[in-house]
This record gives sequence, structure tokens and C-alpha cells, in this order.
Amino acid sequence: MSAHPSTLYSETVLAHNRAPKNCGSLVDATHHGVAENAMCGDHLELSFRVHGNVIAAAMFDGDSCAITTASASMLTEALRGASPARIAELREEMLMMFRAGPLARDDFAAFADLCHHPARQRCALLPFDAAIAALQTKE
Amino acid sequence: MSRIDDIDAIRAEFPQLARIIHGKPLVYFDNANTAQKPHAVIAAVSGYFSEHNGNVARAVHTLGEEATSLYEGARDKLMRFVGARSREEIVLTRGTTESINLVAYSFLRPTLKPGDEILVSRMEHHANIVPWQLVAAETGAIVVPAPITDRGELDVDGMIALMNSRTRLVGLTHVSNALGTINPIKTIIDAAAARAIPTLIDGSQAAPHFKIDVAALNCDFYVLTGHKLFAPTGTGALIAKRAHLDAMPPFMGGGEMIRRVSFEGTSFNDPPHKFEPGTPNIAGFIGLGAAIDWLDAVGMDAIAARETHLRDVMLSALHEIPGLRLIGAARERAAVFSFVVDGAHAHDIATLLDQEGVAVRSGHHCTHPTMQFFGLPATVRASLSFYNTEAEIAAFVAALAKVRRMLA
Repeated sequence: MSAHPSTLYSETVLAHNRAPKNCGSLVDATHHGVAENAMCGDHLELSFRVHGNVIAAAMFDGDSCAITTASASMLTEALRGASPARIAELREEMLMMFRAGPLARDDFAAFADLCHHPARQRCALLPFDAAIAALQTKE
Repeated sequence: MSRIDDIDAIRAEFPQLARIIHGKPLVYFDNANTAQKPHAVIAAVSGYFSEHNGNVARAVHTLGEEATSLYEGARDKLMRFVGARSREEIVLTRGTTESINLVAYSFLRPTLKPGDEILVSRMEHHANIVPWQLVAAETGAIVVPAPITDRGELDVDGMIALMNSRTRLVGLTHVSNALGTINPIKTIIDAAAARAIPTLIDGSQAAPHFKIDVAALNCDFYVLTGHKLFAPTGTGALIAKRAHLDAMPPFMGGGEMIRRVSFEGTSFNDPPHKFEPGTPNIAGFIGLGAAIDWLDAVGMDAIAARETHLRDVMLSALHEIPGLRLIGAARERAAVFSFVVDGAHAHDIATLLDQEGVAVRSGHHCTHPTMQFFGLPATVRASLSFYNTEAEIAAFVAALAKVRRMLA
């Protein structure tokens, strides 16, 4: 049995971690959600400004690992201008990728190697959980 | 000369240590999580299945008698290893967690009343907090945390000051799994005994590293786990004063723990069997017996001396690393080091160190209250054993420097 060489810390992930998009607090947020990673105690907050059925803005805040930070950065980018229903679709695509390998599209493909790191999958999913919590609780 | 002086020969007895991980030799610094197993343990487990597989304490055929001898032999070895007074004081369990739950539910809960207090330190593993909380919630008792200092040492006077007429049990870890602190347990045991308060010592992180003498300690309960002691998972023990075990009702019912069963009423077996229902992890305990034989042959004093040396080398190396902050600075400590690094998350460090062949743990180490005390969600923990080497410490330091460059 040989250990798989990891590509998890790709330049894409490291770049998002170094300079995350949409990091900070969102003024006039309409929705706010929090998620915690029981494995490490990481805490992530995510806020939306929703107009009609469109996410006009999304921001995240928290002190978390590179995987969570990069995932939050990508997710908030992907959600701007999207319908809230997109969160569940993107989460399902992540889960499929953990089982079946990369979906050849956008930055999220950088997380394909998480299929070899089951203990770290929760890190990438944390922003999705905060987003789902946000949809359920209005500001 | 001790056998341990030939470290290459010692390491050759642990096949896992020869593994190559991502093209690099494995540096296994996760010993506080679980320890690697020597050939002698693996052979004992394999030998049980290939030669002696039979059930214990009920089959009168040859295989059953062999299995029973080997299984009960492990109890005798453990008794000698920890300095217990009799084999009846050794209850074999699945591990520390089950041992503590057994004391919580069988010893404490039947007499716990509203307002009673269970005193534990703020540096306990969750296994020495949550079982007490569960029985406290049922009975109206409370779990009282004893203070620790900024160095990560027990505030001994603070803990003793919290002992009072409502205190029904004092629980304390011998060695902190998160900080490496070795606690002055004898002082606490004596202070509690002077107030007629029973004590439970969590020896999970102590037994693999130095000699334990429960009779001299005179604690009421000492618990340990086998998998950190170079034995299989699913093995452990509660070492308790016989009078307590006689008085305690059974924790779980079933076969083997009874004397006679009828629908009019059932009478129970004597300790320790009263607390060991069902078919146990026979192979695992035979492995534990083999692990103890192996440790006895090498010598716990020689092991402790080598680990003290490795601890000092590691401590000096960690102090040299800029931006690395060691959590806890206990004056009495084991070779267990929790740390954080500026600008890098513990999980990222651990995953990337693994890419360099270095196995460490990251997270809260099942010690949320300890992490909260230091204001941290998570740390990286490097925990060494006697089979580690100075060359591995150097490899760890180089790997950490590489990881930090990646995350910068």
C-alpha cells in the first residue's frame, strides 16, 4: 500500500488562502450563518445580501485553515449573482467529487484530491454549511 | 548496556517504522494518539488466531483452556506492570473511556445526590470530563473544574482548596495528552485521601513512558488504555481497590459476569469478572500481555531515560524555530509538545507535514477546556516515543520549515 502524493495544496488553493476573496463583514446583510468544525474548533461566519431570488453579495469571516478559507473564497465568488438554490447544487457537486474525482470546471476542481483526505473533507464543506445555515436564519 | 542502546535493533522490531510515506521515511510523532506495535505483539495476536482460538472461561477443551491461560495471563502481567496488589483489582475493559464510564456509572451514580461535586482538572481529556457530566446531569451533581496555570501546570493549591465535604470524587490525568504536563498526582491523591475523597487517575499517557506503582500511589482508581501501550486497540483496564469493586454493582449485564441466573433473581460473579460481561477482546489482551513482556524486557527505566533525552533534544529544537509558540511550559513534562505557528493553521501544517513523511496530530486533542484556557481552537501536537531518534527530530524540523515556506 503506497501513500498517494497529495495535490491538495495546489497553487489555486494556496492563492485563495493567501488573498481570499470576499473576506470580511457584509454591510446590509439579509442572511447570516455560522458553522463550526468539531474536529479542529474552526469557526466560520457567512453573510448574504439577497434581493428577490438573487444573492447580490456574499462575504465570509473567520479564522480557519487554508482548505476552509479557499473553499469560502471560491463559494462566495460562485454565489454572487446566483440563486440561493445554487448552494445545495454546489455542495452536491463537491460530495460527488469526493466520491468520483474531479469535475473539470472552475476553481472547485482544486478540491478533487480531498477524495484521498477524508478527514479534511469537512474543512472544504464548512463554508457550505455556514451558507445553508444563513439561508435558514435571517438577519 | 540496555537493549535500548541499540536503537536500530529496537526500531527493527516495529515494522511500521520502516514505512515510506510519500517517498520519505516515516517519522512517527503521533505516539500520544496511538503507539506502533512490535513484532512480538503482532505475532501474539496472530498466534492466538492461528493456534489457540477458543473462548475464555467457559470452554473446557484444549483451545479454550489455552485461550483462557493466555487471556488471564495478560491480567497477571498487567497487575505486575502497574504494581497492583492482586489480580482481582484488574478489570479488563475496552480502554480508558470505558474504565472511567464504569466508575462513573457503577461507583458514583448510585450514591450521587444533588449538590454533590466531582472535581477534575481543567487539563483533562474529554473522557475524564463527559462521563462525570452525564452522571451529574442525572443526579443534580456538578462537575467542578480545578484551575491550571499559564505554564500548563496544575494549580495544586487551587485544586486542594476546591476539595470539600460535597466532593465525591477527584479525577486527574497523570500526564496531559495535550500539554505533556506530568502532574504531581501523589500530592493530590494524599490530599484527597486525607479528606476521605476517592481519586481516579487517568494513566493513558503515563503508562507507556515510565514505571507506574498503583499500590504506592494509593489512588482508588487508575485507568489506562492498551493501544497507547504498544498493544492492540480495544484493550484497557480499570485498576481499583478491591473494596470498591466488591461494593460496586455490575455496569453491564450478560454472560460470564454472573454466578447464577434465574427469573427469581440473579447473583453475580466476583470481581473482576463481575464487570466483564460477554466474550472479551481475547486476541487484543493477549497482544497486551505480549506488549508488557516486551516493555519489561527492555525496561521501563531505560525507556524513561531515553525519552527524557529525546524530550530535551526536541524542546531545544522547538525553541530555535522562529514564530513557533509552544503551548504549555510545564517543568515536569513528557515528550509531548503542542504548538502553534504564526500564519499557519494546525490542520494545514499536519496535512503538509504528512507529505514529508511526518505524522503528527492536529486539532483540539479531545481537550476543549484546555484549548479554551489557552484561547486556541487547535494546535499541532508532536508526541515522541522511545523508538524515535534525534535524526527524526532533525527531519521534523526541516519538514516544518518547508511547510511554512509553502503556506507563507
